[in-house]
Amino acid sequence: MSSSIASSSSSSSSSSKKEKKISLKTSDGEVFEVEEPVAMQLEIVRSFFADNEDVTEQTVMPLPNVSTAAMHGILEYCRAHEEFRRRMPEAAPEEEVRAFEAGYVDRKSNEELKEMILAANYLNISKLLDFLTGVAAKRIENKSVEYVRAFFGVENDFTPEEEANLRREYEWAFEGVDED
Amino acid sequence: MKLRLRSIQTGETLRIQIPSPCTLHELQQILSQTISSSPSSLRFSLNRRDELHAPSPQASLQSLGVTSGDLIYYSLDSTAFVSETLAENQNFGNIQEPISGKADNSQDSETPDARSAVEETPVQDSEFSKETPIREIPNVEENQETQEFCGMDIDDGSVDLPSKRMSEPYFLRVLREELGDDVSAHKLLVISVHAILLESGFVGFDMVSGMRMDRIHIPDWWPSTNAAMSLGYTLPQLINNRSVNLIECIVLKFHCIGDLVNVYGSLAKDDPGLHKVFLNKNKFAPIIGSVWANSDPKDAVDDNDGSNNFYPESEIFEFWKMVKDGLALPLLIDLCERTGLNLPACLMRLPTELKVKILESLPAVDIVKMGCICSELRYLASNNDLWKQKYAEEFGGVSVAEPTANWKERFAVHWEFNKKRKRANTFHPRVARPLYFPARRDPYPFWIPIIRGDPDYMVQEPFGLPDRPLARSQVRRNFSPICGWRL
Repeated sequence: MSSSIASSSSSSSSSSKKEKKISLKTSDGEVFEVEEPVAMQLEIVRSFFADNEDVTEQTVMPLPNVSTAAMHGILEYCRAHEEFRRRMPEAAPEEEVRAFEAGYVDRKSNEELKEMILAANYLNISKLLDFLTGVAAKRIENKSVEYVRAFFGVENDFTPEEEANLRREYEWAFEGVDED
Repeated sequence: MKLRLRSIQTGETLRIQIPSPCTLHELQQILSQTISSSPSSLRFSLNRRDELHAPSPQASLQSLGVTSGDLIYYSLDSTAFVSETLAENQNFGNIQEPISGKADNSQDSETPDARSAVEETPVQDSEFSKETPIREIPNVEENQETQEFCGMDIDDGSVDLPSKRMSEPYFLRVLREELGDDVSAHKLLVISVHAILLESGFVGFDMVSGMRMDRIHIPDWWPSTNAAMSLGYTLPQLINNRSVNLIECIVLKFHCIGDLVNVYGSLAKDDPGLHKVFLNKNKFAPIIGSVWANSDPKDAVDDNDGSNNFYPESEIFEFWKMVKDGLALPLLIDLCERTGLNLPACLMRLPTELKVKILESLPAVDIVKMGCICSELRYLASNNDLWKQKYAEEFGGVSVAEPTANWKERFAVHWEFNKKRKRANTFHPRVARPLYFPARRDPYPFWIPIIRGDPDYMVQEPFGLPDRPLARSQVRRNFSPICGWRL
């Protein structure tokens, strides 16, 4: 599933030529000039340019659901992966990728992480989504129900009785959680 | 009020319409005319065991806990059911004891747990009908009885009860309330979509009168003509005293083309975005119909080629996901953005696939906790495929395809089993050990790490608990063998 994006962009671009840039405009009006192979990792951009024949290089594609902050984070990830791919077209250097990803995500707060998941979902970057959902899972692992609820900002729609019943029913899972 | 009446002897199910209110005596009369028998010999039961009694001849069926759509068992043999008092027969007066059927009917929408309980699934019928007389399992308090079925000796509350083997999506419950008998496949799909919209927080909305509509009205001409039918929805917060044309709402248009029911959703006023879902009625209607009419195990068997009669969870989930992600969620987001209402929380805004992805990356205990966060996640976190995968990761040994297995329950049982074994081993290290073992160490640590990554890899390379737990359980007396447990 995740391979289709990368492969579609890889075949066309060659590193020697002067790179084509694609302009993407975020919700707060900032325009990003993104190298084509990086931008093509964003499925929404790729299909926009594939489906619309009348777009030119000057076309600025609006991305109303992506903030500038999230866009920075996303492009950082996509550029890093494009770089990995360029150096090792056959197989990504596993350890390097992991090291990058670990360092990359350590710097992100929970709020930034959530914003990036939403943006990545809108932009449809499956590789990044796989990675970020895994990170989100890691962050709620072994936490209390209340913590997870607050983490995602989810409203509790159970009655107190319902919730008590649930917890009683699944008592086996409620043993020892980390401090929030 | 509509009722389903099933003969305890023949298993045949009748669907009858009764006046409301209706007393037990009147029900006897109506049924006796339908099946041409003597009314006085007819006995009713909600749970197949205890006879349904009225505290007074005037008491309505509703006061006994019977609601529309309920399944009631009947028998021509006046001794078929256990009477609450010895002074049974003809006269229903003076029985003050609470009617047992009232408390244990999971269809009673007043019960707090009502959303979750899968009432009388075909599974339950098929499993339990062989062992009459057995109560249906009403609630957690009766856990002890449940355990007897399975021959397990485990902590209270640790097992998913058979009667609620999976968390039922709320929309199936709405369905039951909305549907009468003899619904066409098209209407079944419309009402299912409607139910998922309600579940997502919408309320029905009449765009002409500007009033909230709690029931939907499907016009008679639909789908026989080519015209599309429209249904309006809005959010409860948006209905106020403003004039009708100021209230923002969304519109669903239903259009039938061949076997497809195409549903187009958009904001009612100048909306650029259109969301659409194409539902194949041949694929989904029979499944939803069979779940709805789950009273009839025979139906279920027929519908599924006789191969199985379990709750068709994955198909229902697929339908739910299509409508939820294709219509309900994007429309909710559109409407919130248009009206400036707060958007749903980050996690809830993600498509189902991503929610499931997060759940899949979590260890089992955290999945359970996710299921306690809100009702939608409860549904997702009880997905059987998800638990099958977790079981494989944790304990291994998922080789045989067992469509009817409740993997979540099985996981819990296995989990408790390991825990107890560990605890017991610590106190009574009976098993002979070579002397060079410096300390008693459990060969299977309580917590088994889970490898993350490619799901295929995880399933195929489980952290094995080979045959030993089973072998041991035969030695240790405080565990009786667990029925249906194959390793």
